[in-house]
Amino acid sequence: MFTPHHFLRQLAGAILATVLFLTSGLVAAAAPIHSNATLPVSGLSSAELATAVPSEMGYADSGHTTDSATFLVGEPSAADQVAVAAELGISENEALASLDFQEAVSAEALRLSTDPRVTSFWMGSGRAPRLTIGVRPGTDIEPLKASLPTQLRRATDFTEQEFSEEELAQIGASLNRILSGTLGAATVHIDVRRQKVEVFTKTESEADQALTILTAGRSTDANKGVVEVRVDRGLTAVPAVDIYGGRTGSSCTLGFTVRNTRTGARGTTTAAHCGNSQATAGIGLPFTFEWKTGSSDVQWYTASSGTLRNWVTDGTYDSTPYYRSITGTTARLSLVLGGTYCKFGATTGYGCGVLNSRTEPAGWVPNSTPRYLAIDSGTTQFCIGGDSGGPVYSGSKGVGLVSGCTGDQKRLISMSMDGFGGLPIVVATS
Amino acid sequence: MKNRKVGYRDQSCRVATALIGVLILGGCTAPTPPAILLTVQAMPYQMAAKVEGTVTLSPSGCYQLEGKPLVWPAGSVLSGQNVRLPDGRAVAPGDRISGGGGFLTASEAWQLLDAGSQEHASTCLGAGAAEIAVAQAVPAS
Repeated sequence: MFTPHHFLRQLAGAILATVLFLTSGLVAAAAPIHSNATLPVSGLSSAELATAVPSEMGYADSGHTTDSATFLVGEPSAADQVAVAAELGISENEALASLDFQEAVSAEALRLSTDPRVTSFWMGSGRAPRLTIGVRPGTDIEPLKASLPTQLRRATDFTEQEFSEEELAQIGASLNRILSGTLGAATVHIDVRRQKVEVFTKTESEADQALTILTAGRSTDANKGVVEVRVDRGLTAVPAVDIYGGRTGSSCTLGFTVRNTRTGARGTTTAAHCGNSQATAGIGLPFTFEWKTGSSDVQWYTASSGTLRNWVTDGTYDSTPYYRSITGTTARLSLVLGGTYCKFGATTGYGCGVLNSRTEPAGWVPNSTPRYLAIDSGTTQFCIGGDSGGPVYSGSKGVGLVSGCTGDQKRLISMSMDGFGGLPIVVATS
Repeated sequence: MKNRKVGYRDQSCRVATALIGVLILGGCTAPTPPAILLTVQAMPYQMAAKVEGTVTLSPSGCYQLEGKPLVWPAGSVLSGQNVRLPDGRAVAPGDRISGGGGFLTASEAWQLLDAGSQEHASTCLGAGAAEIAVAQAVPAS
């Protein structure tokens, strides 16, 4: 539906773009500069600036407060229930209720996504799942509420939002275009709940540069306060000195941080078939030993510098951005067939799949025993070359290390925790 | 302008000299050995290390990837000095490939070779501790 409000917003944007085009030099000159750094702003179109640049911006160290959870799509099953309970730290009954609620939301998702009154919607999982629907300012929520099924109506909150998910994404795309030529390390994320387009940079000086670029065309447009520039120590600065599972190695992915049971020395792991020369982020990893036989496809390295953490990358932006702590392990026979387990591979990133076998062999491992795991995903590119060694986990428990894939890239083969059995190293849990 | 006539005898000498030169040069150039293609046996699963780099052909006819002996995906065939991958793409020495597989010892790699490759693997795999690059999948980029 094309509302008068929508029309006015479009008209204001068009006028603003024109004014900016005619006066961009003055606007840029008048803009308070936050940073000492100055960068050319050539190549920015007035439309891009009018669309993307807020009038109020600031940056802060990443102190992320948004809650986050992994939503697993599909029909609930007993196995999913167990896995989701482990993933979210709730009881199995609560997990089932959460999955049921998710399914109810899923049934309404397409309708909500195309409703012009709705800007976005999201589910908060956990012990008492609720749906939040973002609506355009001034929307009468009663008809919208009435259109929901009873199960959702009782547990839905409404909040007014200026921008839809798509509109924020367009702003983000504009920022990406603006910044990509000068700040390659900057990444842009959309947080529709907070109505923010977040620009993450590696350092404060880069944040200053980003601000300089973006404020060059600042205006009083409708995007006021939308863009935040942050120094993301979780995403970039911290990994520069911290070594943990999921980081990119030379030919593979780093696995769990381990501890030598005899000496206490800490190290990192990857798959044994990854070659014996690995480094990460310029940090040399001296090879120590490998076990490529039976149930084991693992090798371990010490680190020439940096700090070895009991973390794994999880691709989830929450209070521990893009990583989680591993505080225990789950033995192979404690894994649930049909359960959902997650992994991180340097090539394919974060993803979850269903455990369909605990008794696979790994043909490349001499005297291989059928104690490897097969985890399937419905999506392509679940597992590709470069993912080997990556951590497989459930919640905060280590489950295995990626070892292989099928040709269609939808199944990964993982060494189970059996592969650590009898070795002088154990997964570090602190 | 002064014309210079070239006699029959002069021409014969030149031809003979050229023939001798060709023979000498030909004798100095070693014949190119036929390329040896080692392929891995078809397996339901593949290792998931990244195997990438520039393919070269050693003087002994062995394919190498960044200096390491290279084993090709199952179903690859020779086409002159090029290797035709299972999907039909041709890889020539000097080309760059990127795919999935792993790095194994010679004995481990030998175990994974198809029967035809095992027969002449010793020339290329050697018996040293050097890692063998085993490419099990080279998807189109």
